[in-house]
Order: sequence, then C-alpha cells, then structure tokens
Amino acid sequence: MSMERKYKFQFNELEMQSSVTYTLVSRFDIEPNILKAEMDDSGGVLILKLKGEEENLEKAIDHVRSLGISVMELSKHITRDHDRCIDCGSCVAVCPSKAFTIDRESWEVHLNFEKCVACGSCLTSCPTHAISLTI
Amino acid sequence: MAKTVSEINERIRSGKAVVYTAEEMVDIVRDKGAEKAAEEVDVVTTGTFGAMCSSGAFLNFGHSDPPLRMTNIRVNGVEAYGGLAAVDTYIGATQVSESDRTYGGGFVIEDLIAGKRVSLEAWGPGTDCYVRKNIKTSFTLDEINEAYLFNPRNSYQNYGVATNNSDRTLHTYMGKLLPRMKNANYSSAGELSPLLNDPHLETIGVGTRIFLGGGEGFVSWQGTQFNTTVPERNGVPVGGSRTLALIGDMKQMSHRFVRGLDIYGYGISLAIGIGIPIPVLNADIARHTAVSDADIYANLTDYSVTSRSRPTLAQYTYEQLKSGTIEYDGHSIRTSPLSSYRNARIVANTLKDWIEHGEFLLTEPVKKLPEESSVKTLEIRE
Ligand code: SF4
Ligand code: SF4
Repeated sequence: MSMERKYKFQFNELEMQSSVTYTLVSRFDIEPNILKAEMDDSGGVLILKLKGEEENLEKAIDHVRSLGISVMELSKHITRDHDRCIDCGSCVAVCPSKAFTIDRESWEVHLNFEKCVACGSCLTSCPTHAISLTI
Repeated sequence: MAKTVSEINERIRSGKAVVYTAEEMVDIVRDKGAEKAAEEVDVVTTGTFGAMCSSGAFLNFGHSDPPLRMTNIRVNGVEAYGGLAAVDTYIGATQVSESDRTYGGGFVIEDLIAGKRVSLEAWGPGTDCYVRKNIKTSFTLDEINEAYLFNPRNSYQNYGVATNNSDRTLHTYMGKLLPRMKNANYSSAGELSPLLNDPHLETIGVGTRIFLGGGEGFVSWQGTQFNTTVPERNGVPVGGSRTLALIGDMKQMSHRFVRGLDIYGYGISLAIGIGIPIPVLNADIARHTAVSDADIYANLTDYSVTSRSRPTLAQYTYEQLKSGTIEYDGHSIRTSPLSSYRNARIVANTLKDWIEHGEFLLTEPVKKLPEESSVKTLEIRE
C-alpha cells in the first residue's frame, strides 16, 4: 500500500543529506519531498515527507537509522473520515493552529494537515468519531 | 393578495409552484418587497441539522415462537424501554451502551437506518400467555414491523451561545469549551432554521408535513419546554423558545440525515436533519421568512456557572456568530457552529426539490400550537 509519512532526520555530518535522499529514491523507490532543512553547529535537521510502499518505507527508515542518523516520525497527525464528518464545525474554534477551518461560502469544514501540530485538542470536540490521531 | 394552502398545492401538483429556501428569500424580499414576494413565491423551505437529544424510536419486533413478553431489552447492548406491550419498545437517543460509553441509542438509530444488522437480547418474566423467558437474536430495520422516530423536543426556535470563563476546559452538550473564554459555541442554523422563519407559528401546527431525517414526517404536538415568553428582537425570540414534537417513519429515512453523536464528557445524542415548508400565504408571512442572520440575536452565557439560570454576558447576531469571531470585553472569541449549516442547506434544498417536482404537498395545521406557554421549574422538596 502506497503511503505518505512525515519524518524529522537529524544529521551530524551535513554532507550525508544528499546521499541519503539519493539512496531513498534509487534503492527504496521512495519519493522524498523536503519540507524544511535547517543547519547549525551540531549538524542539520531535515523535515521531509516520504511517499512509497509501506514495506519500502520501513526498510528505508531502518537503513537511514543504520547510518547513524536519528529519525523521528512526525507520525501523529490528524485524519478525518469524510464519511463520518457532518461538517458541524465543532472542531474549528478549539484548534489552536487553525488547521480546521470553515469555508463560509459552502460551509464545508476543511482540514489542512500542514498546519496541524498534533496537539489532540480537536479529538474530544468531534461528536461523530470522524477525527483520529493516526500513527 | 392572500393565497390558500390548497391553491398552493394545486400549483405544486401542476409543477408550477415557486419555491425558495429561507436563505434565498432574504434577498428576494429585500429586492421586491414583501407584497410582491408574497404574490410571486408559493413556498419557502427551511432546514436545520444538529443535535436533538430529546429523540428516540418506537420499534415493534414481531413475536418469536413461542412468544416472549419483553420487560428487559438490549439493542446492540443499549437498553430500550421494557414497560410497553410484549414486543413494543422505545429506544432513547441518549441511552448509553452498558459496555461502550462512546455508543448508545443515537448510534443504534443511525445503524438501523443505515440498514445494518443489530443484536437483540431480551428477557421477560415468563407468563401463561408468554412462556419464553429470554431471547438472543438480531434484526435489521426491514425485518421488524413498525419503526418510527418520535421525538418529544426537536427544532428549537433559537438557542443560546456557550462560553467558559473558568480556568479549566468544560465538556458540555454545547461542545468543548476552552478556559478563559477562548471559544464560544452556538447551535442554531439562524436564518435557515425552521421556527425562526415562522416565529409565531402561523403556518406550523399539529399535522404539518415536514422533512424528517430524509423522509416524510409530521409535527405531532408542541415540543416539551415549549415557551412563548422569551423576549424578542426584530420579531424573533432571543434564545430557546418554541419547540416541536415530531414523528416520522424510519424506513423512509437516510442515515445521511440521521447521525449518532458522542459528545465527549456529556454523552450520546442524535443529529437529525429537519426541514419545514412554509406556505407564503400573505405579505406578513413573506416578511417573516425573509428574516436574516443580521436580524436574529442570541445570548452569550458562561457555562462555568452551574446554576439553572446563567446570566447573559452579551447578545450577538448570527451574522456575527457565523463570521468566526465575536468581540467581548476587548478581546476576540473564536466561534464554532455545532450544527451543520452545510447539511441544513442540503435539507432545505432537498425539500425545495421535492416540492418543485410535485412530490411533497403542504398541509394546514389540524390544531394550532399554544399561543401562550411558559416553562415550569422543578422544586426540590423534602
Ligand atoms: S491536533 Fe491540534 S493542531 Fe491538529 S487539527 Fe487537531 S486541534 Fe488542530
Ligand atoms: S467536529 Fe468532527 S464531524 Fe464536526 S466538522 Fe469537525 S471533523 Fe467533522
């Protein structure tokens, strides 16, 4: 099953960055999408989204870890089940990062994953069990 | 020029009726005036889709062989009333499952309407005429005799706005309320809401045919806590006032418009789509159906006050509430609707469609709802 996951990679040596992303593509058939790259004295931090088969993703992450790179999955993010959602808007005002918004023309409730900081506040606001914090 | 309901029905039958939603009617009356609008428009449709806690379903299971007089009943683990005749029951929307606090009557009703199979366990005393003492089986909505929603209080005419001025998060039937007034929740559909478009119930009464949960339903009585004494602004009550008791065949309904709710920290409820058609008999009725969000006010109250009557902090129009933020005491509070305006619109438009296609005729009330009624309180006596 093809899927997309968000990760934070922490490097000690900066030059590893390009070789790592190259290996992800060539060896594990993964599409990396770099969302954020930061460097400082202690090394670099890369926030990236990886897309690929679940099995390949897991192998790739094992491989990256074996190179001494610390990997953290920014795994917890909110998903919304559209079949359960009734667009009631209960989740909107409780979301501190405004990831949930209402379109005031169509009155549909939208979720912008990029803004979600996985705080979990919306979970207890949704009356239809439409929201879950997935791993 | 006044019209009658039977004249309007003639036009519906011949496919010529002019129908607008209550939202569309705002502009029509603003542009053309109430007199002209009343001549041109036959019916205005309204809609709401939100939590209606005082709801439930009557079910008749049919008899097993040998038969059982059910006095203790569980449907999908949720208790249903055992004090009616042998195989009749009533399952209330807020009844919580004994094994799963996130499931209850509202979800059983949704599951049945969605066509799902549910389990039935029942026990009885065993009598000479009903020798069986228990049963364990399952059923679907199609397999049982009657199944109808009968809701003692639905479609509140306006309601309050909830906030929380305490230091801790509150989980209420008005949703999640963050501390220090960070958010405020409102629940009425405002200008599209049925009873706000006929504020003194000139056209809606016992017997009025309505849209209920995707099928045809009827107003059966005034709802409980029916109240005509709430102060008005612009001719509509500010706060919860009139209510309706509704009835409708579950077998006609769609689970798209009937949904179980699990309101965290409060309990189980049921969201129902309700639409009421208003015959535009004269200019006064046209004017009422043109009420807009800017004309309708609701009271903001602090739900951290635990007594029965909470003081009003401020009044806001639905235009302000629907904008997403309101101002209070120099700071802004983010608002959430709780009821689905998107689905309220779908209800009003579906009903409009039925009427335009000649599939839904209007009714005259068999009996008017009370013109004067106030709400009594319960005194604590030792
Ligand atoms: S988890 Fe927090 S940030 Fe993410 S959508 Fe829910 S409330 Fe917003
Ligand atoms: S609270 Fe749940 S049902 Fe309501 S809009 Fe948000 S996700 Fe949808």
